[in-house]
Amino acid sequence: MKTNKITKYLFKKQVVILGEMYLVTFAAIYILPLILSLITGTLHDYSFVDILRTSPITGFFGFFMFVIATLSYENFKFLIQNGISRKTFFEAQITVYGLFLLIGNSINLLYNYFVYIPMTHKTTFNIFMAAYAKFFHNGLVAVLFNFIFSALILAFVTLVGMTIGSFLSLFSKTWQRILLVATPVIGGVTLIYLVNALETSSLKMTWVADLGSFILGYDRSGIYNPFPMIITLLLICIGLLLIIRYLFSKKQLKQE
Amino acid sequence: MSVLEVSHISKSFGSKNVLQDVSLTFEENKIYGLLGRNGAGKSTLLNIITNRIFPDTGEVKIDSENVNDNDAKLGLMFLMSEVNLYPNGSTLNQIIADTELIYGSFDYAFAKKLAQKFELDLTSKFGKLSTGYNSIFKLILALSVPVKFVLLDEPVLGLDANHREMFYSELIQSYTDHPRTFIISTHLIEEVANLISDVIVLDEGRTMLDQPVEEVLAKTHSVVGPETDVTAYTKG
Repeated sequence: MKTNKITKYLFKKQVVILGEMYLVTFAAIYILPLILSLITGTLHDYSFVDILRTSPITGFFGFFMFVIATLSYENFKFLIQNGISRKTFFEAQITVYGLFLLIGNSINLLYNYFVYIPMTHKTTFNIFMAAYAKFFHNGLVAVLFNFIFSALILAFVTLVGMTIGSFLSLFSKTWQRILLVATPVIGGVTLIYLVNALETSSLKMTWVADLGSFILGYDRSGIYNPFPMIITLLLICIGLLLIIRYLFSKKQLKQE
Repeated sequence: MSVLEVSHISKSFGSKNVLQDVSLTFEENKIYGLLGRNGAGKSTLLNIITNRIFPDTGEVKIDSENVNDNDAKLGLMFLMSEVNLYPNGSTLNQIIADTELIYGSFDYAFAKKLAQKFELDLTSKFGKLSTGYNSIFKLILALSVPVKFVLLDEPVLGLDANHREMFYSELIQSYTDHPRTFIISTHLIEEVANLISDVIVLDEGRTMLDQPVEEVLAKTHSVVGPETDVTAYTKG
């Protein structure tokens, strides 16, 4: 019932941060090198076109979504103060991030199709274009699936951020610090152990390689099929949504 | 007629039992005093009622409907407490606008009047407020939101004597103009004694008393005399 109001509130608040991110990105990528060129007297080396051609604007948006998605506790505090349920907060937050993905993904693709390609004459600006675009014979259909594929990757990154942030928000600051230090160490050791175990085992990663090839849509012809990957991403995103919904339902005010 | 019911609430933090099987009923348009010493479990109870934290056992209902994850029922309550849940970087005007957006309405004229009376600048940032003005701002919000149950946890914390008097006077006026249920949690019993209609006393997480003030007063007796005689008499 209150989801629309909360969506409006969160969008209004977070779209300002999105705008700031694009402004800071623009300043850091275009203005800062110009100032540095002026200071160091190398203005003749400064090329706006070169910077435009090489700037990783799409990566910045993904990073922004990951970071903002990890920060949910501040909004939870304000909303629980004003009698908003965890369920409504979850629904509104997912809607807002969905809208952000539409905006950011559109900007990314417009930038790539209308700035990057005309300037570099390279069409392989993302994973989809590098591996899957040739699967489609119609250019417009390829663009449409590029949009869906990129959106799913961004959604995956965002949902991973939300999962980590929501999980950490259940703990006190002391435990958060312990988890942030311990998880990469334990994860790294486990990964090394697993890699060693797989290398020495009789399995020789055949099933892992087969599964990986299947998910990636590998084909001997060299034209990858995007659908297994799209469906896999979709299923992972649904799984993450269920986990986040559960973690949101466990949010409590912490004693700070 | 809305009724807020607290049924068999228990809550522990580690090995400490903060609330033990607490059951209470809050009726509409009454002013309750939730009294008890520090650590009696008052704040924990109010946090559970407003779904900020979860009880180990028991439930909270408004009009027979569980409040857990229930916007319609949670929106009928407002808890003002010492804990700051507003963004420090927001101005008071922004917080009021956001509060109005969420509740659907807000007595802005009344809030403005109170802000003037308490000399609170609504263009200030929330994080920059002193302890006293922080409490005043949250009290203004509590009196201006359209809810049926206003829960005040140690409302006059950090307020000087003058501001405390002003607040109690505004609270009575607000209640008279627009009756609703107030639950005032405090350990300053004498300050709310003339304000409340019902008294609830919590002690070590248990309900010691839950009665209308009139009934409590009817049961009280004054014993006057030399100290030794009074002590001997009250010892029985």
